[in-house]
Amino acid sequence: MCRYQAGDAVAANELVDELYPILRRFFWAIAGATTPIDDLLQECWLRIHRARHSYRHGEPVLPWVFAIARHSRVDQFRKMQRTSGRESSIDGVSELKLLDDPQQQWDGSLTAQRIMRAMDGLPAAQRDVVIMLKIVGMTMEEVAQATGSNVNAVKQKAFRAYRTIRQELGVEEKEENPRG
Amino acid sequence: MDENDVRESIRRSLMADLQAVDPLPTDRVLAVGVQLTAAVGIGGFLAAMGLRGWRLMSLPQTLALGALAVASAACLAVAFVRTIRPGAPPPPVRIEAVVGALCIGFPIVCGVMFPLSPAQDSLYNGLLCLGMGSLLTIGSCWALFRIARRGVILDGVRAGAAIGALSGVISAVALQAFCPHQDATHLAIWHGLVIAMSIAVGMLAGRKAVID
Repeated sequence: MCRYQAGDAVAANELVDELYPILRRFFWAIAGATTPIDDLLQECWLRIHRARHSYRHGEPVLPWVFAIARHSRVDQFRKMQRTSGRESSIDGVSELKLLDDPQQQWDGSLTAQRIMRAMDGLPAAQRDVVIMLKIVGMTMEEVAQATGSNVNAVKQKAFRAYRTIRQELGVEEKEENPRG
Repeated sequence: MDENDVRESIRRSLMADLQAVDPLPTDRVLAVGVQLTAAVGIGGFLAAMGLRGWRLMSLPQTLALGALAVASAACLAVAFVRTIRPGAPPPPVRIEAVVGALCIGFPIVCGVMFPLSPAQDSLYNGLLCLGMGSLLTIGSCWALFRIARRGVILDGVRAGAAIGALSGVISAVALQAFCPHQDATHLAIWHGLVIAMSIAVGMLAGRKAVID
């Protein structure tokens, strides 16, 4: 990251190779199959590039990247909300897109689909936390930094999200400590 | 578009504008920059307008308002610096809490520490203070916005609230030291309105900047 800040092309390539799959997973899990994540990814990378001076040497990269990624998604959602009012829908297009999307194949199992559906019902803040923890594989500390909160708040959100998902899936709830 | 095409397109966009950049200074340096901006703003205004209000204030009044201003400016400076750096840890005191404390605390301190003398609280005096405070707020907002642009603003509403509140505090302190109408009602309403308005305008401008 420091070499990228210094304008090193090799470092920029390495960073794209390292982060691209992680960001793709994150946006796919958040946006679902109906939203064009390619645009989101490109927009997010442009923001990362423009904000590269704000990264501090020696600090973990993922919280910095995901702080930017989360806001890219929020802004994209706002833009979509504004434009959706002015656009007329074309019936059937979204269904066709769903069937043709190769990413759907990744999510073949019924359980995974049910989990994703259950996650759709979660508040955005809880969904982000679950995705960063379980899909991206970040630590509690990294998620706390990326979301601008503290570790206890992240644990609390994750606990509530897991409870909601379990209820949606009809799984018996075990006694669990939200701080554990 | 194929996954590899997207990756290549991203790579190309990055390479097209790959220059060395100066990393953002530390939080401490930025916070000092914010406090210096505040000091220069207040000092410049008072050098031009004089210290009539300060001379009329008693020591407890000066201490009470000074403590409120220094505490809120210090908290806001740290919170503001954290809002312009992605992935920064949350500030020790949240912007919402400082803004709330300022909006409630300022009229209370004025009401408790200053006498009620309705003769001094005319609409003309009030509008004069509001106008001067607003002009000062615009100047300090501009200076703080230049610092904010050094970083990256992700949460426009919070950053706007922090810039607005800091500018409001700067204006209120300068007005307090200049204004000869040291009456509880005048201070709570008109000087308080300068703070409240600058916070509201900052938040609206931040929201608008994010949407656009």
